[in-house]
Amino acid sequence: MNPREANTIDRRRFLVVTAAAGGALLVGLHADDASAKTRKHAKPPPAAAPVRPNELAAWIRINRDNSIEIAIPRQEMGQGVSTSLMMLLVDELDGDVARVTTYQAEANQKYGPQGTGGSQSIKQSWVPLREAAATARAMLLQAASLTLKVPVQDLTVDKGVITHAPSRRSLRYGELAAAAASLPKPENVATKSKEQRKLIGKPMRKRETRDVVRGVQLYGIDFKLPGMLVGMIERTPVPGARPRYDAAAAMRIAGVVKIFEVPAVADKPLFIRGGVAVLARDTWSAMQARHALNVTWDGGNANEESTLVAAKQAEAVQRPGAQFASFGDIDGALTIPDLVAVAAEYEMPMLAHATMEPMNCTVQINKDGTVQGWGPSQNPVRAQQTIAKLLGLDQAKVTFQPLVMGGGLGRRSNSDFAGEAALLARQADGAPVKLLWTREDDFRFDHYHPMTRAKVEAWTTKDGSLVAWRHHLASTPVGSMFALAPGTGPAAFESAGIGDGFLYDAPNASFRFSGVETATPRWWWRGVSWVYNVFAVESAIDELANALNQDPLAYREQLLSRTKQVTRVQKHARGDEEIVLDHARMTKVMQEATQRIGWNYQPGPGRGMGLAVYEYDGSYAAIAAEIAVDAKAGMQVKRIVAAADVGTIVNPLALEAQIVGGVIFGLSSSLRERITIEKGRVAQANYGDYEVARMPDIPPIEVILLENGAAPTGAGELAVPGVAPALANAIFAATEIRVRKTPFYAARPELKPAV
Amino acid sequence: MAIARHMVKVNGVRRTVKADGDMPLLWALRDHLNLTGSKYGCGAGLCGACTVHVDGRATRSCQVRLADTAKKTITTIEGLSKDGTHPLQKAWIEHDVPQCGYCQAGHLMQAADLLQRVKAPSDADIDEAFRGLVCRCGTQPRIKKAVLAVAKAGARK
Repeated sequence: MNPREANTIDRRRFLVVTAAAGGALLVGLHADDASAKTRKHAKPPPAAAPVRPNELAAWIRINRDNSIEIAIPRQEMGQGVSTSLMMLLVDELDGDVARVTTYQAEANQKYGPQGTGGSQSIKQSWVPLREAAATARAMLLQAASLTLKVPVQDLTVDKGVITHAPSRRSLRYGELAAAAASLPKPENVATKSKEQRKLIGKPMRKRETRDVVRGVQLYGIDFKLPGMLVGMIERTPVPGARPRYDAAAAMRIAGVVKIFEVPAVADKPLFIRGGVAVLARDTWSAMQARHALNVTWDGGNANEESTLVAAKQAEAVQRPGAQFASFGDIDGALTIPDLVAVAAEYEMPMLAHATMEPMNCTVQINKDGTVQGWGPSQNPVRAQQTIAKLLGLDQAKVTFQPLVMGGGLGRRSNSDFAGEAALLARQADGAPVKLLWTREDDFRFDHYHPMTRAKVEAWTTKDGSLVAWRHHLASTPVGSMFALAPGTGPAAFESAGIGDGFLYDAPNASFRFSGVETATPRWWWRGVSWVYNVFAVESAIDELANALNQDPLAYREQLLSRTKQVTRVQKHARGDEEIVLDHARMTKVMQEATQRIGWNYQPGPGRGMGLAVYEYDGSYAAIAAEIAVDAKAGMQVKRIVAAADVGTIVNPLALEAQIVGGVIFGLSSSLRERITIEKGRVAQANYGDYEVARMPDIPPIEVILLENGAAPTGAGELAVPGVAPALANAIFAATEIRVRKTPFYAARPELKPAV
Repeated sequence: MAIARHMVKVNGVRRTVKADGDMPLLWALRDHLNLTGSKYGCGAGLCGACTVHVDGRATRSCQVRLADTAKKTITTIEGLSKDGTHPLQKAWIEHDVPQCGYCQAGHLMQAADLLQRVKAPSDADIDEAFRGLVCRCGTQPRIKKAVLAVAKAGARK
C-alpha cells in the first residue's frame, strides 16, 4: 500500500507491564476499545492494574525459568520480520536470545497494526517495541535494586541476568518477573544508544530455516485438522455468467462430499467471484470433481480486453485529467527561450502476484456458534472481519490464526480467500474446510497490479536546469477497490514518487491523473505505484540527459546538487504532512552504486549501463545495471548493483536479502511478466504462459547498504521500482533504442534470449 | 479411475496408499502420507516446488502417477538426511538462503541431484539445473552461493 496515504489508523493504546499466572511478566498493549470509541481523551489504566488476559496483547512474556516468549504481531512472508522484531525487543530488553522463542500472534486489534505491507513493519515498530522493552528492563532493574538493596546505577545487565559486581550477586529476570510487575510503570524510559546495542545492526540468520530445510515448516496449505475437507471453487470466469454443470458426475468421484453453488460477493475490496464449489476428502478428489463438473458458462460480461483498456488510457492521457499536485506555472515558464523538450509515454501491463503458495484458508464453524480461521494472511484482522461479515457474525465470535505464508507480495493483504473459505465452511456441517486455489485459479482470479500509461513532458534549459515537468498518469486504479474516505484525492494509491513526492526540484510542474475503470480487480503489488511512477520519471530523466548530450549520471548529480533537500507539504483530511526528499542522501546512494559498477556511459559496442535513483517513503535507492545485447543471442543482463539507505540497519543479512529479492522481482516483471484480458478472461493460467525470471535470467547482484543514524525506514519494496528504468536506460545506452513499455521481451522480441 | 492399494517406498520405508492410481505422487505424499515438505506450486511441472528424487533423480512429483511408483524408490525433503545435516541443508542455514521458504524443498532436492551428477558445477551448470524451478522471493543468488560452497567443500575432501 502507499504508506503515506494508508497509514492512518491508530486507537488509543497503553503500554502495560503486568504479572501473569506462574510468576511471569507480560509486556504489551492494553486498549480499551469501548472507551477509545466513546471518549476523546481516554485515560491510561493505572499502573499494575489487574488486566484481564484477553485485554492485553502481550509482545513479551518473561517466565520464571528465564525463558522469553515473543509474540510477533506482524506477518512473516519471508522478509524475516519474526527475526527483526524479536531483535528490536530482545536487544532493548537485554534478554538472552538463546532463551527466546517466537510465535505468530493471533488476529487481535489490541496488538496494534498487524497488517503487513507497504514496507512498514520495522518503520512502525521501531519506537513502540523498543520503548516497551526498555520499560520492562527498567522495571526489572528497579526490582533488582530493591531486592539487593543497591542503587540501580551499580547494576549491569547481560542476557537476562542482572549483576551487582561489587557484591558479586546476580539475579535472573525470571526471578524478578513477579516483583517487577508490581512496581509502578516508569514513563519515558530512554532506549539504547547505537553503541549500547547488542543485536540491532548485526547479522542474524532466520531460525525458521532449520525447519524449512527439513521440509517441516508448516504453511497454510499444510494445515490439517481431523475430519477436514478440501474445498475448491470453479469460479465464474467473467462477471455475471451462469453455470451449467453435471453435479451427478462430480459426485461419482470417490471422496467427493458435496457440490453446491457459492454466490458472488461484490463487497469492496473482496470481489469474490462465486461459482460451483466442491467439498472432498482430499485434494485430488476435489480436483477431479471440478473436472467432472464439466462446467460451461452462459452470459456475463465478456467485453473486457486489455487492448481496449490500453486504448482508453492512451486517449485519457491526451485529455486534461484531474490535477492532484502542481508547483509554479508551467505556461509562464515555457516562454523562456531555447528550451529543450522531451515528451514520451510509458506503459506497464497488469501483473500477477503469483506467490509460490497458492491462496488457501481453513475455516471451521463450531456447534456453539464460534468460528475459527487459520491461514496465510498479510492482514489477519481483515481476514477475521471478512469471515465474520460473510457469516453474519460479530467479529468477537471469530478467531483467526495467521499461518506462515509461502509469499505475500501484497496479494495476501486482501481476504477474499478467507471469505470464500467461510462460504464453504457454511456448507460443511461443522467440519473444517481448507479452501485451496489451484495455480490456474491463482493466475486467473488474482487481484492484479494495475495497468498504466504515463505521459511525461519535460523542459530544460540548454545548461540542464529543469524548468518544467508535466506528468499525466492513467491507471486502472487500486483506489476504486475501496470505499475511499471523503476528501481522498483521485490519485489515492497511485501517486507515490510523483506529485508532492517527485524527487527532483522542478520549479514548475503539474501532475494529473485519469482513472480507467475495468471489471478486473486490482490490488497492491510489491512496490505499488512507485513501480510505474519511477519507471516514467527515471526513464524521462534519462531521455532529458540524452537530449542534452549529457552523461545521465552527471546530469542527475547536477539536478540533485542544486538543493540539499526538497520539502513539500501534502494536505490530507487528517492534517498536513511534510515530505522531505533528501538530495544529499540520494546523491550518496547514487554515487556508491555507480562507483561500484564502474560507471561508464559508453562501455563499448553492444554493451550499456543504465541508472535509476529514487526515494521510497523515506528510504533511498539507486539501481545501476549493465547489459549486453547481441543480434543473435538477445539481451543479457551482466550485472546489477543496488545501493540502499534505509536509515538504521536492523538486520543486515535480512536487509540484503530484501534488496536482492526486490531487484529480482523488478527484473522479472520488467523482462517477462504480463497479464492480459481477452474476452473478459485472463489469458494466462500458469508459469508456462506467465513467464517469470528463473535462474538463467539472474545476473550477479551486488548490494551496498549505507548505514546512517536515522530511524529505520522500509526495505521490502525498495529495490523493485528502479530495475525497469535502469534496464531501459541501459538498453538505450547499448542500442539507442528507447523501450518505454514492459515487459521488454514482449515489447522488443529481438531482446529475448534464445533458450 | 479406481481406488486401489498402492505400495510406495518413501524415505526408506514401505508405505501403502489407498487411492486412485492416477493421483499424482505429490498428493499421495501430502494428503495420504503426511509428508507435506514437497510443495504444490503449479501442478504442471512448471515450477519445481514439488521436486523429489525418484530412483535418485530429481523428478516433479506432480507429474508422476501414483500407479507408476510401485517399483521405484522415492526420497522427499524429509528423507534427504536423517537429522537435517545433509551438507546442502547445512549450507542453506549457513547462507541464510530461504526467504518464505516455500520453494526451497524443490531447490534442495534439485541441488542434491546436481551435485551427485556434477561434482564441480559451473555457473552455467547451475543455471541449467535450476531453469525448471521458480522462486518468487529472489533467493537464487544465495542458492547458487550455497551450492557452490558445498561443491567446493566436497572437492577438498
